[in-house]
Amino acid sequence: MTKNDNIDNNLGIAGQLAKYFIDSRLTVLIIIFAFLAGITAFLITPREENPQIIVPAANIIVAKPGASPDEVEQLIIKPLESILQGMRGVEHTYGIATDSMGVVTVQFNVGEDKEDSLVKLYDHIMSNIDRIPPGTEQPLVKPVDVDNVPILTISLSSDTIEDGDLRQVGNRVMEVLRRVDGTSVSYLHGGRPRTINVELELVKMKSFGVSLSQITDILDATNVRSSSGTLVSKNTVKQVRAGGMLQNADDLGKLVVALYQHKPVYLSDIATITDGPAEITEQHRFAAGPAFSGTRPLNYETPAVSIAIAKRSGSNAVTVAEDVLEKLDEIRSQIIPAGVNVNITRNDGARADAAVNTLLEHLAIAIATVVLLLIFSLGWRAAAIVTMTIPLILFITLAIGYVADQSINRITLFALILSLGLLVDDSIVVIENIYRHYSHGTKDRIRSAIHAVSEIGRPTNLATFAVILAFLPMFWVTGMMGPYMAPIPFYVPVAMIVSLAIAYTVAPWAANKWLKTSADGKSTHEVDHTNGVPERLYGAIFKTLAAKPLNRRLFLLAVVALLLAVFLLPVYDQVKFKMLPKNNTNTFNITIDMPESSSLENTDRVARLVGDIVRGNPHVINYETTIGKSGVADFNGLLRGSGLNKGAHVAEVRVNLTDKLSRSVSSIDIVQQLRPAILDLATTTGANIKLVEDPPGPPVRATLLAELYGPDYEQLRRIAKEIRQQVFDNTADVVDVDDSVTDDVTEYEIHINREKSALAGIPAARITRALNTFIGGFEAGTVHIPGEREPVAIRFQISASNRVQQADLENIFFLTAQGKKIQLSEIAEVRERIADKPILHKDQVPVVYVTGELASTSQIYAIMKMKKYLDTHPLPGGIDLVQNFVSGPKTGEYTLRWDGEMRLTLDVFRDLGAAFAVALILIYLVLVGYFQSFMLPIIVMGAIPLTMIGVFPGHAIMGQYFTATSMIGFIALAGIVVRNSLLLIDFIIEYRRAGHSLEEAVFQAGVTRLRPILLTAIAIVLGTMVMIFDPVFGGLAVSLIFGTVASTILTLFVIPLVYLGYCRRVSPEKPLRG
Amino acid sequence: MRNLKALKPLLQSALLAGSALMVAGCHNSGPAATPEQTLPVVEQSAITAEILADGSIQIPGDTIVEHIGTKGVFILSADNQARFRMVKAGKKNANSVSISSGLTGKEQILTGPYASVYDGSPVRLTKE
Repeated sequence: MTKNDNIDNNLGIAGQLAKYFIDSRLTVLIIIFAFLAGITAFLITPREENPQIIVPAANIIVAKPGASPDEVEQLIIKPLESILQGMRGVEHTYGIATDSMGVVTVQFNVGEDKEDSLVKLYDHIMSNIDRIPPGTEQPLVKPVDVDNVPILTISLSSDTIEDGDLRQVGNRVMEVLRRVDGTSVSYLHGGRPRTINVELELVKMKSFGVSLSQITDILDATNVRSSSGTLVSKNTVKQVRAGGMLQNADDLGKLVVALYQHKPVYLSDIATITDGPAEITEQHRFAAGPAFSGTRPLNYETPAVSIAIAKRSGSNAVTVAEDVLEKLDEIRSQIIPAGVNVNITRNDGARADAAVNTLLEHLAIAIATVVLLLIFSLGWRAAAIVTMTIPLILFITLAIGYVADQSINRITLFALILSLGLLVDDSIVVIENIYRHYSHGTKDRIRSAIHAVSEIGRPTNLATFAVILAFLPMFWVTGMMGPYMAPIPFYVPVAMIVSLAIAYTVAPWAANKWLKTSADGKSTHEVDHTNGVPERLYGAIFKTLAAKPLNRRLFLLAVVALLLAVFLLPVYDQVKFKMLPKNNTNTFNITIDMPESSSLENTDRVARLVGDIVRGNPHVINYETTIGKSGVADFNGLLRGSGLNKGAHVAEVRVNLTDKLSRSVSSIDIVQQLRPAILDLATTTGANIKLVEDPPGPPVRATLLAELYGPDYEQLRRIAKEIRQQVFDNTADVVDVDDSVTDDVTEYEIHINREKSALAGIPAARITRALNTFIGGFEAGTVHIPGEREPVAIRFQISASNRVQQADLENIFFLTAQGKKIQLSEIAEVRERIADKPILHKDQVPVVYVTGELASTSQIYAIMKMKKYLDTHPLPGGIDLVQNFVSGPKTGEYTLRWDGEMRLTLDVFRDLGAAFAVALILIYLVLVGYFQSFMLPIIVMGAIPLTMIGVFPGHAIMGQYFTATSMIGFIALAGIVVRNSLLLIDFIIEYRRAGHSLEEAVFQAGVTRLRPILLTAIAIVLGTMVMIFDPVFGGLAVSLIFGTVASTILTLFVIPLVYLGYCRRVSPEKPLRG
Repeated sequence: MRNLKALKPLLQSALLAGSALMVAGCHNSGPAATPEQTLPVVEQSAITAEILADGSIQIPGDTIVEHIGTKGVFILSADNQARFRMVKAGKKNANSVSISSGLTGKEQILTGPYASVYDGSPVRLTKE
């Protein structure tokens, strides 16, 4: 690598590449091709807001009518769990045993193949189907599919048209929209489907002597139609159909159900039959907020129907959403009647596009600042060359990403911004060195350039390789955080390799063409480096430090002391840890959980009050309320399992805020502002109201999740209440506290006296069936209405006014074979009791959860506080509670395991720590290979801890949490500083080999490398500065900016000084590389 | 630690100003909001429910309206607005209906006509 005449035989890969490409016509083609490929990739790569996380999961629902939760737990949940636990790839099973039904949710490992897992699951269940206890219905396997989460919801609402009719409109619209290419599942949310409602009037039934079971019999016998065969005559076949179909409500009304005083009793005599929306059990509404910009509805909240459309996996959310909306515009005037307001309430495509575009702007700003820096320090010709390579590298990187099936998302762009500071470095080093050679005066520009490239080839390769090695182990981060961060270990190494390739091919080619030096060999734009102000300053300080061993030792001691002092910052809570900070988003949810005994009307009242509070905030564009079930599924809710929530006591409000770029208040603050009013409402109404913000990273069931295990489930429920009230409610900043124990619900148990019912000749089963079907409602087939898009069910139910209180049950009677009326009260007794509560399992063990969220701070400190409290305050009843974080529950002991985000945090920091350790080992191995020494790599890597001197104080100064992204920044720093100190040591060795004394070589190397090292550092600082505002990636920016500044300055002194001391001790005169 | 605290606002503001300059110009405000709905004031009279000895809440049958397909009543809010309340009707008597769910019995219920009453209409109460 030294200057000699036979360089051609001595060229490394770098030199060879440069030699081939420096005057090749191919280079131009490569540049053009790279630009075209890059722009194409940029335009067609699917865009998303966040990387997709694949977590195959499914709910297995098994119904066993009449079984108590306890029975369901023993007979269904336990065997089912044991069957599922035996499957490979299953991470967790969550079981819940409720009255008459058991649900087990299987969650596979993150990244398991979706189709494979589900096929395996079906196979496993089907092969064990013989173990189902008698009286149990066929298990139902419902996959929880992330791909089915709608990317687009279109809300239809009206002040005049009722929701049943809106649903018809919605159906027609949806039918057209789902023909758009790229869409997958679509469904309507809200609007009662058309049904034929048969409301039985018990009093009339009594006077006509018609019993409930008679109606069931009649129903079974009517409304059948079958193809009975064929008639053949005159060489043609004619179909024969038998049976009459019910066509409409009138047909139904004309059914004869009994004879009374020798006259037929029609169904219409004993029931009110209506054709229209069913009895209200859920409702979906739309409401405009203060920032709403469309046509305002007259009412505060109007009934609505939402068309929810999901995209096919792999298709581009941005274009699919655009196409669908274009189609909607096209058909709007034809299909949607006047008076229907159309609002887009969710558009993940536009959201992804906006997120990506914002970051692209940031990337452009970062590039611009780096370019400015280059012009100032390199002169415009050199800067122009380096500037040209930046988009080239980014385009090729994006093209490689497209080929590798990556999407463009926020993390991708953060990875690109992060690598920006690093990727200009290769070109800068090459151009600088070529420039140095040119300015020494040369006749053969090509030869000289090749020589220059070859000279820095080996150390540059190695330095780039070190950065790549620092990032690669991040691929093995487990859990949901793995796929979430995966673009970073993909894009940074790719960008680095591309930048290296460009630096060896395009950069020398461009330098040869455009780089000019004046005739006398002096530079046209700058003076000799060695005499610049920074160099002189550096030289002076360095000489003082190196002059006496005492100075050197004192300095190194001071650095070590500083390093130790910095670690006191987290100890004294000046730097706090958190997994990921909350993100500023455009939407959040409010879930309302009333006591289980709440009626729909009561829930609705609270939901409207929540709406009033929401409408009071000036940043609210609109909100959608759903009562009776949860709203349109989103990714977060899907994994939290909120999609299963259903019932009169459940409601959800989804709030859409103005775009985050156009408002000065973050969504985090808006939620904070709403909290007091919501809390007030919650206490006055007895509701549990949670403000659910979209998590910045992977979703968890709850931020704070205390899992309680123990031998006695009833006792666990009591402990849960205790912990909730004593600990969670009393810890500062803990909000949205809840537990998995349901409230007491009164139920009437109709206890049939078997002896009496047998004597009356009415089988008990008949009584139960009649009661079940008519109180709960019963769908007896469908009517056949031509042109109807949804099945129209015939629904029988005792009219609402006839099932209000216990006394109403008295009106139910049955007929004996002799036609004698028997009152229900004669053969059965109605008892009032508290309903059995559901039993929850996690991974086969009964569990009770206590959950909470944090309003603004990190969960780590809240948990520490609560853990300490529980350690010092014994539970009532003298129960010992063992607390842990990772290990499972022990049999016979009461255990509390802190799960939720805490667990995720521990896992992420553990994985990142492990990744970092692996990275260090890999870097060490490579360095040993390069230097052929065990000690030198340690000196080179000694620069890594120096970054901490910047990282921790940086977080303290900026008031930033040390997050997972800060950790990523720290790992990135390791690569960067190793690169700097490696080049430094390499130069020292080169100088020593060139014949300089040890002291002189160390000093000269420092002076020569000063500028490029500072340039890289400033490029990184400027490049990442745009990220500092981002709530999630701010930590990474702080780590990089402060870490780079501190380590750069320190590296320049510490590394040469340590090297000096080391060489003096070991081998004063011999260069260390053979 | 004290030195650090002193440095904090300085560095913070310098960095934030730097990055603010960079990010400035990216801000675009969304479409302007349409002004709030100003509904005409309606003149209605109001009644309160009758609570029977057994605790059941009775209201006149004609105060139950079907408002955009949903059964309920209009009640007078504290800030004199007509607000829709979903109710479930139980037994019907000659001219009253018992409400099985949706009311506490203390609400002021607006009486008809309801042609121009919306959820949110300002109400001027007339004496009967």
